[in-house]
Amino acid sequence: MRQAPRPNIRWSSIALLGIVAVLLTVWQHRAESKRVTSLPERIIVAMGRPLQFVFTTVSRWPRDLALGLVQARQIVQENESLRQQLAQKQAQVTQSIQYYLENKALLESLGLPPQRSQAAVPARVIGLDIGPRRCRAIVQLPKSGLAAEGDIVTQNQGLVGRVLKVQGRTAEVMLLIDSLSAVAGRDSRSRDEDLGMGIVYPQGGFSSPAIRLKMEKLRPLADLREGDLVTTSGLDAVYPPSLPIGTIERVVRSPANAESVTAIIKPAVDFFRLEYVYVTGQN
Amino acid sequence: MIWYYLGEFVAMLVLAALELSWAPWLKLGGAVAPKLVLVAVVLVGLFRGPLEGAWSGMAGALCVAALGALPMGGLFVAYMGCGIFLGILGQTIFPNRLLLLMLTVFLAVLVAGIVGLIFAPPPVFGSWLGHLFLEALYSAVLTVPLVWLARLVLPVPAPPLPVTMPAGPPL
Repeated sequence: MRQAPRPNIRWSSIALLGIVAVLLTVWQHRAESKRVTSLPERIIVAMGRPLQFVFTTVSRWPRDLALGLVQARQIVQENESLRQQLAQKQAQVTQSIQYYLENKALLESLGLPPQRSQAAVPARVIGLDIGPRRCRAIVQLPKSGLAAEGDIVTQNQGLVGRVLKVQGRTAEVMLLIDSLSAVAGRDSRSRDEDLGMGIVYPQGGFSSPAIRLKMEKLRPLADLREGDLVTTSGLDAVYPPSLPIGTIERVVRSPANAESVTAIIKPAVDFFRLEYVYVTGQN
Repeated sequence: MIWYYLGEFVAMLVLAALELSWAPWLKLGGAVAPKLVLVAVVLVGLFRGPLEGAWSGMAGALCVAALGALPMGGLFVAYMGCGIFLGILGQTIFPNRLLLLMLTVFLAVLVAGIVGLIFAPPPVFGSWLGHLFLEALYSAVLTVPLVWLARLVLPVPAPPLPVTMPAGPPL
């Protein structure tokens, strides 16, 4: 009879790795407290972001190909319609330039300073992390684009979130459905601004069709109806006013507490299908 | 040897980038992506041993935390813990059965999720639980191609000797 050899485990090396892990964690916490990213994280991000960009691009090919094959005729029709829309938009742009030049000339003749508007930078979503706790997106800006912490992220449909952290040409965006997100909102139909105002939070839930927001801190007499558009009120000094958040799906009035009114909102943006967004500077 | 560890780090980086940019049309319910890095940690631990498991756990947790902008502490505990524990287990149970590997991955994702729960509790417990279960299931399914890949890349150690050996022929 012979006993099997005992497994040879190098505990000292494992302990050393454990110490390195603790040091890395402490480094990250210290960097977080100074609102910066630690050096190891920066190195990994510099190496990993190009990979994420490649994976995101490649993963879209099969879907686009399949869609192209299935909906070929529809795409041709859409393409024709888009060409017409493009021609109309180009005409509108030409007209807008004329208006702009007229406006500029008028301002100059009146001796007023020229108005400056914030340009929205288009950015590509290269990473999407939607879970029950954290809902973040990683966006990559074009070479000419710059983003800063606190910048607003939108889509044509409405508000997406805001930039939390910027590293080079990539930015981490906290989505509206993140558990830490809160936006001052208002019912755009409500005439009394005070009555239609509230705070919009994520409702919880993670599956695509069920994702909802909720507007709380509403007055009991608030005139809210299903289908009303909820926009940002701008009172939080984080988001500018009048950006669409979503539409009211239903209004819940607690039978136990007449003071408690909650509006369940269907977000204007499909957070699970984010591909391109606009990043707009705050300052 | 250093090339092995470096290669493992690069593999973890690639898997973390893939996990965090998982195509939306491949996600379950549009939201659930598999834990590819954790699957790789489990496989390295089982096939290679506790030290390699710990290293892959550390590298994987670091890459996921950096690319996903997540806190490192809980990830290190979960991933390195899985790597070390399964490394020890892999030396006593030869990891040759696919179903067993899938079950191990399923349990590892659940355990890692529970460790994450301790470090950062979710706002809605029911939703978190459903999400975690689907994540574990999806990861277990994706173990099959990853095992195939791991067997190609990682030199699988020979099966351990049986506990008892028959005595030699009578003289």
